[in-house]
Amino acid sequence: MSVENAPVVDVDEAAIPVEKKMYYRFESNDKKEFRVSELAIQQSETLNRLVEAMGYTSEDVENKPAIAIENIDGKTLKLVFQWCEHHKGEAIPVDDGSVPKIVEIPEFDAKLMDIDNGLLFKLIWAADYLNIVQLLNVSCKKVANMAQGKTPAQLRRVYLLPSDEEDEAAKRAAQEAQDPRAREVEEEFEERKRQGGNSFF
Amino acid sequence: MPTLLEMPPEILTEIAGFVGFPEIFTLGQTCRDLKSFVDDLKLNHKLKSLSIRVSTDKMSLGCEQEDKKYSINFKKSDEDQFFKSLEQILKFQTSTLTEFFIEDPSPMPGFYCKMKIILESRPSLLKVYELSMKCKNQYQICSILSSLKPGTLERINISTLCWNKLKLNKVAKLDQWKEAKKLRIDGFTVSAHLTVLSSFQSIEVFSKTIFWTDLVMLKKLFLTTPNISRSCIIRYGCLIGENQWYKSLGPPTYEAFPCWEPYWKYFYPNSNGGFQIEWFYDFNDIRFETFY
Repeated sequence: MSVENAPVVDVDEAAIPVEKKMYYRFESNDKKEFRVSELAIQQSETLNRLVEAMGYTSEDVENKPAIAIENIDGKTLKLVFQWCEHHKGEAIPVDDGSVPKIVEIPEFDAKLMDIDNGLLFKLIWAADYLNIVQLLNVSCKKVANMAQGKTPAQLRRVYLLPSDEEDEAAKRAAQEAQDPRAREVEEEFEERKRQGGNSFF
Repeated sequence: MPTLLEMPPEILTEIAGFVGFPEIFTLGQTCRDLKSFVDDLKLNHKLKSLSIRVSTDKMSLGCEQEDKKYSINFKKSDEDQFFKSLEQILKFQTSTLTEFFIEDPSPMPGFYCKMKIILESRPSLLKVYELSMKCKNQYQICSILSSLKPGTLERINISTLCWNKLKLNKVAKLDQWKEAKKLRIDGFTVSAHLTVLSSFQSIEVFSKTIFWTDLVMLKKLFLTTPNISRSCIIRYGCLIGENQWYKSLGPPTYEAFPCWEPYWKYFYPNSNGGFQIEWFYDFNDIRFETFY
């Protein structure tokens, strides 16, 4: 199944074929609504526990407000639910602690994650927040793969990392921006010292 | 747009779990924050083999992981980072290293002491199948050997380039030595009774000087342990007491053409089994081998 055909739907965008199984409604922090099948939700430990605790009936799902996921935007959540729908019913892998982890990135996942680094990091964050083990595995593997055969300078470019010098400069700038009076006080103190004064007051 | 550094530590750890060797150390060289993150990681890289080479101007680590071989080189000035990386690799390795190779031809001050500290800081003894060391003395061998798991270690290879005198009195007391099966010593002048080799089933020693009395003791070892299948190859630069050794062997047998070398056969009491000594005189090579 292609990424485009994954059965996650923005409510505003399309009509959902009515199936007997239950579809839950979720809302992103930018008010995008999604319908996700019960089976797909099982890929997320967090959401699965949430819907179990809520104990919604099919009427509740339709009549009550969509379940808000306040930390994730619509663009990211759409990717998350597309992934869950595609992998619904699959076993959730167990981490045996070995390094490097052996994880293959399926074609569907590779296409789904063919996105810019910013969105990829948001996807990883969402997979971690929603506790979707295999999505976290494949997305982290994708980020890790970017490191292969790179020098430290190349890695800085790939991961948008500052060098130590840039980091220092940014910290100094941030400090000054936070407290502009501190710099003025320091300059005044230096000036008084030059004039021979012992005390600041 | 979020960056790698803005990821929570648990996600960074997840990503690090997928970054293999040696990229994980490259990642640690990108910036201060990731260096301190990588330094604190506890990753089991499941390496198959590890080689450590120290020379006058650089250090290098070579690893085999998942049938791929990698190496990282460190400048002499990066000594701290070298040991930090080594600690990370060794400290959390749980599977058996098929080969652990250490070469330190121009001894780095404190190298073996630091290695010992790293190995002893592990939660359990490091499992190694074959240990190979290019070193200079017994202390160096003891530093490494004593930190390996006895029983798992089956092969020990020790070599040097400069005919250093090698005592074996302390190393032979270690369980790791006693429980290993195969030993190869190359390039040393072995300054010990060859009976310290008695626990091994396969022995290969290349020594500058050998005393005939040691060979007699080896022969005695073969005579008194009829149930152990064993082979022993002694190569030497100089055999002290060559005539006495020859006389002690009794009358030799000569193979027919093309092999003209003499050999001696000794049978165990009430048995068809025994052992044979071959002396390749021109090649300074004496071989003991059991047969059944």
